[in-house]
Amino acid sequence: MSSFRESFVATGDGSEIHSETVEEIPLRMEGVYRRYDSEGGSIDALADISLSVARGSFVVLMGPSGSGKSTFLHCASGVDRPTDGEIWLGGVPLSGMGENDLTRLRRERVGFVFQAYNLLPALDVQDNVTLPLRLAGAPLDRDWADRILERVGIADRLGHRPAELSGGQQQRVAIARALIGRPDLILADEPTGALDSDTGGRVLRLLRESVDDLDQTVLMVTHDPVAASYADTALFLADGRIVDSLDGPTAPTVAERMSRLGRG
Amino acid sequence: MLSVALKTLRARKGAFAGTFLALACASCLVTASGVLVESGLRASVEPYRYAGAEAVLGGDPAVEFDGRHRTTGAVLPEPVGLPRETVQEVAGLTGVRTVVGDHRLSLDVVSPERDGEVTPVSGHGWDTAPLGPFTLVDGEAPGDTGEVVVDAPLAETLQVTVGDRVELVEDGGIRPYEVSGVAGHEDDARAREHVLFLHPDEAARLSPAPDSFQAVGVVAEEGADVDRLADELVAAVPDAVVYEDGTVDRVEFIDVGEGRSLLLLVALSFGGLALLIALFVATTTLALVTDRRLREFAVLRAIGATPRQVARMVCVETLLLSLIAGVSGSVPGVLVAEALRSYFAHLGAVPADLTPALGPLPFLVAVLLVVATAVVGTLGVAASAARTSPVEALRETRAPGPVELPGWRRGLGLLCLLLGVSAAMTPLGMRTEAGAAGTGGAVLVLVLGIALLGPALTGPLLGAAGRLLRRLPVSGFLAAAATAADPRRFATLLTPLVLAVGFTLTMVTTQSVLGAAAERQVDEGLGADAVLRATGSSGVPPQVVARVSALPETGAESILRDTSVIVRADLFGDSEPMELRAQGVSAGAAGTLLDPGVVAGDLSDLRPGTVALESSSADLAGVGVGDELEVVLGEGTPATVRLVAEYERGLGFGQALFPEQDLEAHSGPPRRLLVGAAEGYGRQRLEEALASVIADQPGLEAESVDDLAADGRSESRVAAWINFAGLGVILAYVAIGVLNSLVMATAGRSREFALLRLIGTERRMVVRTVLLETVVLVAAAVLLGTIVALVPLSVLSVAFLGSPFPPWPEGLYVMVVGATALICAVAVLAPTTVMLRRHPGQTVGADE
Repeated sequence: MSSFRESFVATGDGSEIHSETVEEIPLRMEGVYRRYDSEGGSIDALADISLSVARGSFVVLMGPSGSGKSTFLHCASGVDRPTDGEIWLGGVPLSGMGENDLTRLRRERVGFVFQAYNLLPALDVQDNVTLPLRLAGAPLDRDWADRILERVGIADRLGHRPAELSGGQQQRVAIARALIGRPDLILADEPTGALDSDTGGRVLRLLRESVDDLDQTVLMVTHDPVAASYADTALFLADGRIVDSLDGPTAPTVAERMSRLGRG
Repeated sequence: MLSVALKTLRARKGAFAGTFLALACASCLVTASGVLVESGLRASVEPYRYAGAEAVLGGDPAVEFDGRHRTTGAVLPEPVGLPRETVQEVAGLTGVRTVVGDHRLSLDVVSPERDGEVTPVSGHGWDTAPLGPFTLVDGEAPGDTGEVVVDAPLAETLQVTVGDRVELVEDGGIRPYEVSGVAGHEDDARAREHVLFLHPDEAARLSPAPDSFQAVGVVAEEGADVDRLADELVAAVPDAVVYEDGTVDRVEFIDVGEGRSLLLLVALSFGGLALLIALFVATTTLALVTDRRLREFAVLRAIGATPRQVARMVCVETLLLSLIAGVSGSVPGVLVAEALRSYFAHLGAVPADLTPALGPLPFLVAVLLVVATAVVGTLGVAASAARTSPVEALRETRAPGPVELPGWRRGLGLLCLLLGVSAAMTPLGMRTEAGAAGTGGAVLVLVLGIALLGPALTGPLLGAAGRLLRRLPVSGFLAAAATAADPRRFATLLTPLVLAVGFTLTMVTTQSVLGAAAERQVDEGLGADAVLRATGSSGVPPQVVARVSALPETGAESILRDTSVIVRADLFGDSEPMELRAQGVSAGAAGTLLDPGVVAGDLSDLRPGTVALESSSADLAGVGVGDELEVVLGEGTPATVRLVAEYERGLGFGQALFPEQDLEAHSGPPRRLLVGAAEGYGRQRLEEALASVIADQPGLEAESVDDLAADGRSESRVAAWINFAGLGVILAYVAIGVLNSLVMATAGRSREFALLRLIGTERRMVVRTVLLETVVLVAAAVLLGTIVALVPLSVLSVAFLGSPFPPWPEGLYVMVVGATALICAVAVLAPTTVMLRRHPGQTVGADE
């Protein structure tokens, strides 16, 4: 586990040396600002964010409401563009890319897991999982698919529609879909926000196993200290800045940092 | 993408049911008009009098104008004859056994009871009998000009047999003939008219144009090559049209051609309208479906679907859906077409025995048009689907989209309003029925403008409604919030309603404006004290005119000859044929008996070689008083006449007044004689004197001046009913569309209702809330619909009645508002009640 932590760097100036070549880093940000103009001047939703997420790591981004978590996620996935700074997805710089190129890049390099409404209601489990491949026109890797489906535990539900699944099952299908294209990075947005703690725990273990056994990289946004304890590293966001980080987070340590943030 | 689209359609049958219904109904409408168009082009009646002829020649009814850029054509309004020599030209061809020219005479047989009643018959020379073929079943052929042969049905009607006498109405009285024989036709049961055969010389004597034939029939020799014969006929008589199998009815029966062109006219205008409205309705429902699927598109975008892929998926879905809907809707379209056709037959506008033509083309066209319409309607939807930001999927609650209107839409909407208003001005420049038709088009374009401006226009309306609603307790506040929350949905639902309200008001009120205008023009312009009307088909004979003229009680008299003429209208440097309703009047009497409201020139100058025109028609023809004008008379004779006067009462008296002599050989017999009382004699004395004339001449009756005005109205009333039938079908379609989209929109709010219930809103309050919303919707629709209708109607009213306030049919208004409210209430309440019956907890938890 320690090697993961060493390869992760999150500093204020982003100038730290890391042990991997640039091409292999799933997500890298340097001096990223996202500024919104409002009536009384402008607000920095993200300010001077520099970080690298190393391959095979599980990073959790924590912060109170309004700290910039959503904006971070939008920028990291290429959905929103930073006002300043540069972002690399799998080593590819996002600046200057058109909407279609961005979509294609997202398709190839990023897997998404949202809090809810992840799945297309009209398609069954199998079709939902393989949809990204279909969109990309990529061939289906049968062995990989079987492995994922078995791992997430929905192999016996392939013909069911989302409406026939429980919330936890739906989230596991969403994880399977995120994994199917072997992305560089899985972005998870409060994936357990709508689940009870038991079901949520299963989903989080699944994400953890994706990192450990399937060599995936996960960046998860949450405000739940328990969820954060599954990660290798926790980053703390406040007012658009990364203000703190914690390696090997546990629920109590995270909760303690969070309460400090709240007071500060 | 095809399989994803297919699976989506299959899985979400419920959501697409509405769109399917709208498209299927559109296909039904378009098929119906297509079937009517095809019937208008190809429908036929089995020939009867010419059933035994291999080919029949008739005059060419087409007239052409050479313009600067292209040649335009029209069909002559009166039957066209062929010169006598045609018979000799055809007789020499190989394969011809019999060739005979036919004078088609409109005759009246006096009833044996001598009660002044007459039976109209079709008169022909006995030499035309082989064309039927008619064969003698009793007696013999007419041996001299005093003998006739009657066909079996006529013999039965008149109760005559060989050796009996029949009397025909003739100029100045009646002429007796002896029945020399009774003729039979192998298909008596199909007879559409009574047939009477005269000696050929007598037929020629009675003909108003003895030097020409109405038709020339050719019977081929046994075993002759009929196709080759037809080719030779075309070559031998290039000026004629050769009618063969399946088209002979066109030269045999005049009413068939009229019925067919009516079908064509109605079907084309009805079909075009149906298509436009289908586009409206289909776009509405598609937009509603898409609104509910925004999150779905966002997920697609987030997992890597390009905008193009999303757009393509939406288009493929629509393509598949519209294909299925188009095919399934086209079949019942035949029934709608048949219902309309039999209704027209019931009105007497189309011959009842006109066999409709049914081919595959209308179905094919309908399906193609529906698919194209749906895809065009989807383009906007697909674009907004493609624009969906993946961020939408990351959001917890879905906010309705922004109301910001793109600039192109604003511009296009304003352009439509501008075009609509200028189209509404048409009646000012063209004070005829054709000009009044601009009113309907104006409404369509105005509604299109409203649809495009949509939310921008409804915003202020909603603001006002909201302020009112908020004064009411709970439900009012909720209703105001719900209406204001989603102005786009509101605008989408509003458009078809505005269309329905505006269109109904316009169509019906246009008819009442025209009716009122025609009535007023006749009332003001008719100076006659008495009217004689011909009840049979032979018209008012000249000797009767002379007799009436000689009466001391008569001050002035004028016959009325109804026909149509064609003139050139110059549009953008090209000549368009323009058909004018024309009347032939006695030159001297025009000003006194019939005052068309002269605005330029002098009607007393009307003498042979001149004409008076309704002023806007004169403008369109590009002539002023004193100018020469080229006219094509009803049966094709060209004439050059000088314009001596322009007048304004065109609806009452037609668009052209000719001295009747100029029309005599070019139109049917005069139907009416207008008579004015002489100085010192009252109307009463005149009527008594005329009664004695009528007593001597069967087939005439006295008609009151009011009846004359009413008769003109009843003709326009048939036209109005035909229009209403088409309007009714289209309105039924709009109603289905409105019902459909309201049900869809309401059903999409199940979560909202469940949430309201969970936080303690009573069912009653929810129902009251949606009802209040419906009231706002209906009120906005009625308001906008009334404005949209009032603009062109006021212009129409100014043009025809001189006042900006059209005669507003109040009953209609109440009906329109009531029907709109009822449809909306049902469409909103039904799904609401169903949803409220469910347990709210389940609904809130369920996926959308």
